[in-house]
Amino acid sequence: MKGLLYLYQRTIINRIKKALKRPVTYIMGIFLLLYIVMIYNSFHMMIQEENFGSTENLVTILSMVIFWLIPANLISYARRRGLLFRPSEVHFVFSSPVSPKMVLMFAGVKSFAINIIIGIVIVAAGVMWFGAGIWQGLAYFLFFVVFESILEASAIIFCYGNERFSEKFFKGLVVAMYLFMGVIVAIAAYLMITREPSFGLLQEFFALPVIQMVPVVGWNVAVTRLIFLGADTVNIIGMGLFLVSTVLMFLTAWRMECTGAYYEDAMKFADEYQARREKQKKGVASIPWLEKHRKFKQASVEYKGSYAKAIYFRQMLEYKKNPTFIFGWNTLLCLGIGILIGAVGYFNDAVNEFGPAKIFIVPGVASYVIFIFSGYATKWSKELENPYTYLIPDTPLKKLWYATKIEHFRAIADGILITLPGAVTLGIGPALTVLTILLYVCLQANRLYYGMLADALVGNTLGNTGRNLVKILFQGLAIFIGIIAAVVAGILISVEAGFFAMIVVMGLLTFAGAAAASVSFTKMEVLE
Amino acid sequence: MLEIQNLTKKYGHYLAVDHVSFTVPGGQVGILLGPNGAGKSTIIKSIAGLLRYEGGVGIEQMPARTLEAKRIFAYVPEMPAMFDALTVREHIEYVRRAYNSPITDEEVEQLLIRFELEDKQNKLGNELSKGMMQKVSICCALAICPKVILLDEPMVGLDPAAIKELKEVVLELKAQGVTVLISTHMLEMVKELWDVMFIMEQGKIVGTFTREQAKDTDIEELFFRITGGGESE
Repeated sequence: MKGLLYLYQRTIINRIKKALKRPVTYIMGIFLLLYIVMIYNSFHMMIQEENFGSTENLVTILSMVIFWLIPANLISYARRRGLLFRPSEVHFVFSSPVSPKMVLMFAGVKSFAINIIIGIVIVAAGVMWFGAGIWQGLAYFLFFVVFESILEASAIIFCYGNERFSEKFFKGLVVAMYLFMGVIVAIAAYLMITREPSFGLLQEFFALPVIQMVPVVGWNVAVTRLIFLGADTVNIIGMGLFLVSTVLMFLTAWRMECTGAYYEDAMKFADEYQARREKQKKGVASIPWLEKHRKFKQASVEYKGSYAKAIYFRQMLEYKKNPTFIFGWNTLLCLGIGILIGAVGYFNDAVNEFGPAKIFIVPGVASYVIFIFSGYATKWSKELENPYTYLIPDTPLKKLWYATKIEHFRAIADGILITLPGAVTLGIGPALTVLTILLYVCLQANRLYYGMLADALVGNTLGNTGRNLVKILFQGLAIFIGIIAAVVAGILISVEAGFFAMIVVMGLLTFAGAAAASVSFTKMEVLE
Repeated sequence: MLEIQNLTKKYGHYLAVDHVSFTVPGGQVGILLGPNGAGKSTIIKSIAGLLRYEGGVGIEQMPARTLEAKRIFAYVPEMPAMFDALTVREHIEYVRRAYNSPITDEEVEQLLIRFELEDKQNKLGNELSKGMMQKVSICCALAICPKVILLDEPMVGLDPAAIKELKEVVLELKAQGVTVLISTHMLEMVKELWDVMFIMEQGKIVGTFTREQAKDTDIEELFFRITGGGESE
């Protein structure tokens, strides 16, 4: 126990010290503050304008959260994936002389700390916006932070530390929870379809005695109603059941024998999580289930060239072995967005509504998607981690081109998918459709090379967020210059010329960025 | 003393360790040898309490999962993992508190000097190289002042000076009556350390030798005679 307390204390102090030394902390702090102010103002305005500030509405919002969060948490605990242990904890904590239940509480402290923050936010919002009294707020805080945390801690010990119930029992529990969530969603959908969808309908739904009598989740709602709306027979019974269940769960957890058999699952999850985290850091989209079941096909490729070209052909060989070739989740996303643009345009008669401006819909949406999403790493980024890339006797620019060539093919395919459905339903001509696709390819290339440039310039000094901000700044500047060129050419010559001018200007700026970014291919150290 | 009784471990339908039993007598150095996939790591992780298993593990005649047994047991994993936000010194301090270890500040200093970590004391866990992490991991295990110590591939990533130091440490531990179990592929490195040798293959112990039984036979020869691999004269 002394060791765990020391671990927490030093970790927090060292993290704060380290954060205070980094300039990005202060920048992020300012952004966070501005974000909180913005959120506060928008909520304040929304609640005032919509006359939403009643305790009934607060209770409905909290009930929705309860009905979603408690089963979701239970599912994660029953699957032994709700608590996050790091490999360092596996190394130093699991083998130390600490009770395995205490180790669970050590990991759970993070959730309980979050409960305190959420509790404070709920109380503040309740008192400021929803007309709740201070005593009501304090009572809810006590319920949420103390009793709810006891229940959660007991559930953690019961699910993780249980060495009596079989794996089948917990699998059954997970299925039951999913079914429960499915039933709730189905009932909500049924009500929405058969009756006029409104917030009032949700209020009625959560006020139903049968809902308040649903074990644990419903009893939670009953306590919330009791605190904010006053006592009635149903919520008093619900509160009683909640307290009894909390005490029983606590006693069960307290008396349950736990020798630490869950360490195996926790260790496995810690390794998986660590691997996923490392991939996320590099921007690799990773779905563990898919990776576990991924099978590669037999394939071959003919190397038509040497030196840097070999990078391209090797990548092509790897992609040919991939069941989905060069396509992936981004392809599906582009197809989805394309169909959405087409469908929305068709059903809302966008041709008449937007008039000549309809030609900007697809490029507008595509630019937004490219600008907002940070992008995902593909095979090209792995080239930078491979020492052989740097040893190949060729120029950095050629290496950069051949390492990223497939990305442009992928961008063409994505561009077609995102553009064509909208082009058809909006009646955009072939020339403008082709130009829109080219513009998409150009924007994607711009994101790719400017991202690389930001990496090369900023390195690790500003962290991931800082790098992204620099990249967005560069991208924004290039798009801004491209738009000016497009507007000028559009006014002076034609719309097509405007598109063409934007592609040319953006293309040149992207090439300049790529040439500068090719420094990344000169030596590995650039990325350090 | 470290006792393994009828230890069996399955991963789904795959039998990784099949009814393995062996004992490392108190104050002796045992080495666990075997080719890749023989089940050494599974046994080590089971002893360390990280896996579910059937059978029993005893540390100084106490079940390994009890807190009393854990208090006198140290484990150096194959892949050390440090706390990102803790310095080298803080790692050792954590261990000292977690185990209520009697190690003094002077002894900690000595340990850091022996493994050339005295100038790295204030480095954070995420600033260390693999070799340095391994050294910290060993220092942390020694800071427990254990009665039984388990070392899984402890030489991997260590520089020659640290390997030499570790060998000396193992002999000192033995002299102090500490039971040591080393799992390794580096036969050459444990040549002069071992008292009892266990050779594993396909989840089973296929050979057990004491130093007396082996007499002057080379460790590599013994190993390849049992496993049938490599070249033996």
